[in-house]
Amino acid sequence: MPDASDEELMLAYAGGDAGAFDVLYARHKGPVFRLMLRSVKTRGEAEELFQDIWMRVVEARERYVRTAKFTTWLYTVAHNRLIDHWRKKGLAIVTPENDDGESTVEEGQAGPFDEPHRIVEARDTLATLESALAALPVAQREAFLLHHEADMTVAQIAEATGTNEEAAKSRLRYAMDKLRKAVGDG
Amino acid sequence: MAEPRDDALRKRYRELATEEPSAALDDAIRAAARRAVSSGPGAIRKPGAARWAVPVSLAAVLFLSFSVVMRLEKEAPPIGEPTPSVVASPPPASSAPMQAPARASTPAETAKEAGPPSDKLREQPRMEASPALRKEKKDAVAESKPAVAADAIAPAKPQAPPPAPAAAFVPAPAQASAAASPPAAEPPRPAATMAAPAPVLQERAAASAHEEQRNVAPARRDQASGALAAQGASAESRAKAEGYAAKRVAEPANPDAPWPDTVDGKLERIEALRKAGRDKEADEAISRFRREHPDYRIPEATWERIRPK
Repeated sequence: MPDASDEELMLAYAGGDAGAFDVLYARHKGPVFRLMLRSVKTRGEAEELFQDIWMRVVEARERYVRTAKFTTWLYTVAHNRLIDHWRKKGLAIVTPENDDGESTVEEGQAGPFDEPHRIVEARDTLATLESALAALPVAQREAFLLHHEADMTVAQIAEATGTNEEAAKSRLRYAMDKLRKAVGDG
Repeated sequence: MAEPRDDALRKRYRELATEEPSAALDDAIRAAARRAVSSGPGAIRKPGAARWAVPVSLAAVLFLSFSVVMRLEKEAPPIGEPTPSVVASPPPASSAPMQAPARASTPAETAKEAGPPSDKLREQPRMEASPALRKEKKDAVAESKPAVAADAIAPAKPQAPPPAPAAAFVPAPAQASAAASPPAAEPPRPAATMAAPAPVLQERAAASAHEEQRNVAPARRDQASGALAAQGASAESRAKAEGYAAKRVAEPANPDAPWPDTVDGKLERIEALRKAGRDKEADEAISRFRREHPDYRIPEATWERIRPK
């Protein structure tokens, strides 16, 4: 069972095997949780969203079909849950990208950690990276997290976030550049 | 896509990304997932007892239904038997010894009475409607003469029938022996009864007292006989007479049997005499019938068959 693929585990769970869900959950709980944690203001919100995402997985178990990679399906669910959350908060999620492929967040509708002064703070510590990550535009941060947390390719990121590969690739590249600069590698 | 600089960034990020959901949250999510598959469709299979519950229930229902149907079929009256109302209706102004030969004249009923115990058991629910009738039959067999007396004491017959018609009605010994049937062998008994009314009255009085001490059955019989005598041509008796007349077409009565105690039996007897060509006896029987039942109106169909020629 531990060697089974994500898709096999999900199908087994849909067939009534609760143990398969435990394995699946153990594999993906960290990345999903950190994606949520870095996308909202507080840990409480992150935990609420995290639980909602897994509950959606549970409820959708019988509709799951093995057409896509499980992680793509899972992070699509997570992405949609985030969009719902931001809409409820009245925040703009992704604005039309500029010529550089960079999404912008409108003034007054910025993400929780988008304040520019945070980027300046704590360059020398590990918190610098966290601040820089929090300061990224939502789409770039999401692309970065999906790539580094879920080990997703550009194509998978594009599919999970509902965009094309070029846009996903661009978001990822800009995010990487900004973070490199923030931690002094750029 | 992975560049050397990406690896450094990745390494830094890995150092940073160590957060995990709390254990309580893990437990809550896992528990919810287990509940979902345990209560959802196609989840955990039912235990053996639960899987067999429905088939066993269906089998039990079918078995009980079959048993009830079989029992009802056993209790249903066979075709050709008289309806319960006819069997259960008490004979008006009954005189047991006279009734017994009259009933013996119908082969079907005789066979029924002499039938196996199972037949009697089958009849029991219907016969319970008239316990007085059954008791009367037993008494009739045991004490024939006193039972006849009750008939004569009935209010509808204040005057005992004169000996002459009774004696005239009694068939000759030669006729009785020629009949060679059990009822035909008994005529001397009612003939003697009719010929000696005075001592019979004393016996009847004693029999009445004896029966009153027993139970309410004799009281019912007296009540029934009085009611019939008072009502005479009641609708019930008319219907019975007509029904019996129809039945007579198939079952001819024995003209030599003793004078019946019921209206139907008497009419049947008269008709039998008429058919046997014994018109004189039939005319006398009609006269006797009218004396005994002055208010009874003979049905038209029956009258056509028994009227004097």
